[in-house]
Amino acid sequence: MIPELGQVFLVAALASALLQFLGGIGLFSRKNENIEAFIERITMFQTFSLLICFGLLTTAFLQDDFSVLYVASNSNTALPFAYKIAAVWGGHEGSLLLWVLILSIWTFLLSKDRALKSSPDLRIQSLSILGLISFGFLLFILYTSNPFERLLPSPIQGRGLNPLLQDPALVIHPPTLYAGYVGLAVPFSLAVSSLLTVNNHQWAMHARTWTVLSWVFLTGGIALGSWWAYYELGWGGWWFWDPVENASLMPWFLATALMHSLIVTEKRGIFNGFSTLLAITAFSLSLLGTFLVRSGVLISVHSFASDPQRGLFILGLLAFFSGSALIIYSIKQKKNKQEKLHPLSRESLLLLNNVFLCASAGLVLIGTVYPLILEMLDLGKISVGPPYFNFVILFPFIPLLFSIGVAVFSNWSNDSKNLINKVSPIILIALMLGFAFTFIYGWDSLLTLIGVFLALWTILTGISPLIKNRYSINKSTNIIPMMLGHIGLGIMILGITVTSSYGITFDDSMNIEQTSTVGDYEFKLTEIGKRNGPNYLAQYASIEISKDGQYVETVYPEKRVYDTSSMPMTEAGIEANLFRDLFIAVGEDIGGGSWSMHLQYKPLLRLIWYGPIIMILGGLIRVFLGKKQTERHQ
Amino acid sequence: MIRRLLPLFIFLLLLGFLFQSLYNKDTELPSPLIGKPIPAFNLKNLITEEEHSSHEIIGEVSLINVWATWCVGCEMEHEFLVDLSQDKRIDLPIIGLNWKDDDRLAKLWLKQLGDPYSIVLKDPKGKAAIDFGVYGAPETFLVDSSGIIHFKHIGPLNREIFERDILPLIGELN
Repeated sequence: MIPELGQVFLVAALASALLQFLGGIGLFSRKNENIEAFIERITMFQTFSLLICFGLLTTAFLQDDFSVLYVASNSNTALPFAYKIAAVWGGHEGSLLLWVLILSIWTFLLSKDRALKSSPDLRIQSLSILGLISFGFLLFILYTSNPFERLLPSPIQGRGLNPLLQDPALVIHPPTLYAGYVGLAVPFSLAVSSLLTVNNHQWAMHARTWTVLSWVFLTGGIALGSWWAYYELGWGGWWFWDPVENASLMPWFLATALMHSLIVTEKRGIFNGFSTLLAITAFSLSLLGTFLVRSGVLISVHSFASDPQRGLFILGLLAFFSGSALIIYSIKQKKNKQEKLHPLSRESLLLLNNVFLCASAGLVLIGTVYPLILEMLDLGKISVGPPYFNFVILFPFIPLLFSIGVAVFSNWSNDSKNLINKVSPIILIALMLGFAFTFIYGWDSLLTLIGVFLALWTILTGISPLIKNRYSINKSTNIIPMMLGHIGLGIMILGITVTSSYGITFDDSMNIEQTSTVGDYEFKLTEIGKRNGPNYLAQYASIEISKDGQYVETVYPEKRVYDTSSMPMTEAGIEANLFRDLFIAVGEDIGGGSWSMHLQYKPLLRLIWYGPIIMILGGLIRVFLGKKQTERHQ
Repeated sequence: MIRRLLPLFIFLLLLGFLFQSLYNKDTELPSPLIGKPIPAFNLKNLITEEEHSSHEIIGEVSLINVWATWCVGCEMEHEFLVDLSQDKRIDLPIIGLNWKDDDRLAKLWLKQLGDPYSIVLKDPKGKAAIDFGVYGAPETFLVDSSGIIHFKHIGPLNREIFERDILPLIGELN
């Protein structure tokens, strides 16, 4: 009964999404007040229907209802409670349902945006566009990926959840990332509706808070994914340049650019076309990401489902939404106000940085789809690996990081006077600290020095407003979020640079009681044993870590074999503090009581995740303050 | 106008590529080396430390198997490889390419799990494997008597795949 009910509500959501669109284009009434009242109600109804759908699917999982195909393929009775819930979005169908649910929640929240009520045309059109997007994806779900499809006769036991996904971080990683992806639909719809209606830069003010909020989710989602990959995939890497990771990174670059471009558009009324284009591309790249993950055209550790029909459908949605937005853009976008830009004014520097960010996204995009293009031109199949990305990303990022710091000191509208005088002391301090740093850690390469310098430079310039204003921060909406954002970025860059330059990886075979040395640390294998988990059997090792004869900690890396899959999973043993991570993964039993072990020393690794946490904090403060400020303006 | 249409053109181009890629059914990466001779190399023998060139190891129809002790898939296929090497009906030398591995661990592995290889060459830095286009162990190549690659399998080999894809080819080549 539950799946049929789910079906009904899914269709109800589909219908209300369509009505939301049709109402928005004025099919039922020409009067704005009527349309607004109608859309508000229909939006609420859509969100409500999808919440029920999602609740029903969750119930099916909790009841182990294997007569539902999706439940049977993604769960079984032995799965722990929390993972039964996580399994709801563990597969293709459920994650798409989550996608539209989140979209409807964003839509609902936008319909409650009080500031937007002052621009009824913008409001109606953007909600109408969001309705159309929702309609497209609901159609996709019903047509190709129905989570409520029955499986008859139903099996006694389900296939179980992919063991890789049985992890706390993975419970929240997809929803967070989706919230970010889908959130970009809001600035997209505002930009397009502005082109269709008022066609001025007013939308920028409304889009800013929403952009920052989706950026917060994107940042969180990406950081969580990287954190998960680090301790779950088993070999101690934290970023693999996997096509699916790239798919989340590209919108992040553009969302970051959009966030900054909107500041200029709101404040000065310029760059409106650029902001519009960024809003369109950022969401298009989210859709592209969905396409890459869901169509299976790229070989990836993430490709769960691949079905050309599904791929074709998503491609159709991408073509329709992005294509029509770009057509509208090319027809309607007015010429930018001709205004002389001073090369060292804040707007010029922000523009420059945004160009660097777009270039980063472009380079990642090229690396990601290059294999597809080569293949199509019949030049053979290749895979583009981390060396390409690690190399090319430096070209936009080195100047970007430098110019971020300069931008902080610049003034609006005018060439900032004494800019060199203002930045040179900080450059000197950052350089000196950088040298001191490479002195302590040991000289590695010029690139390491540059990385450390740029990281410190970004952090110091991020802190500088505090010093400039003699430790009193005025309550301006932007300054604290900016500071936190930049400091967080600098901290992350520092972590990336130091870990990549000074990390040590060592593979060894170890017998019981044998010690292996990595850097300053000794690892002693004291025990090898077996233990039973709820739905897996684990082989664990007990490793005693010491430094200069001083006991530090004992860790228990594991190798798990889940009941449902013969592929062993690695659970690394990690001993971490702020300054370094020690990472141990158990390899194979190579006989004679000997085990292969994968040992790593990773200095400052944690900063790669602490940085984003600070950035997220900055973003959240901006969302909070921004909301209060726009409400005061009313 | 042209400038404003540029994003649309780029987008359409990208869309075309993506559309095309959907209909590329073979998601398996075929090796561009198929139909070509094996890449030239000079590698040391794992056991004897003697150096061998690529010319020295060819001469009959054989398998080249890329493996490592750290690779789970290699462990899965190892038993089959040992069976294959002992199968009197099929005369097929297996050349091992020990990839990015530790000598000590590799030798231990062969001692423990059995040695199916006629010769094991080591490629500790993975340089030869790059020429072979290896992107993950295990990978297995079928080579004819003149060193031309005829087939490549990615992932663990088993009897089913062997009998379906490799055995018929051996018949043709001999």
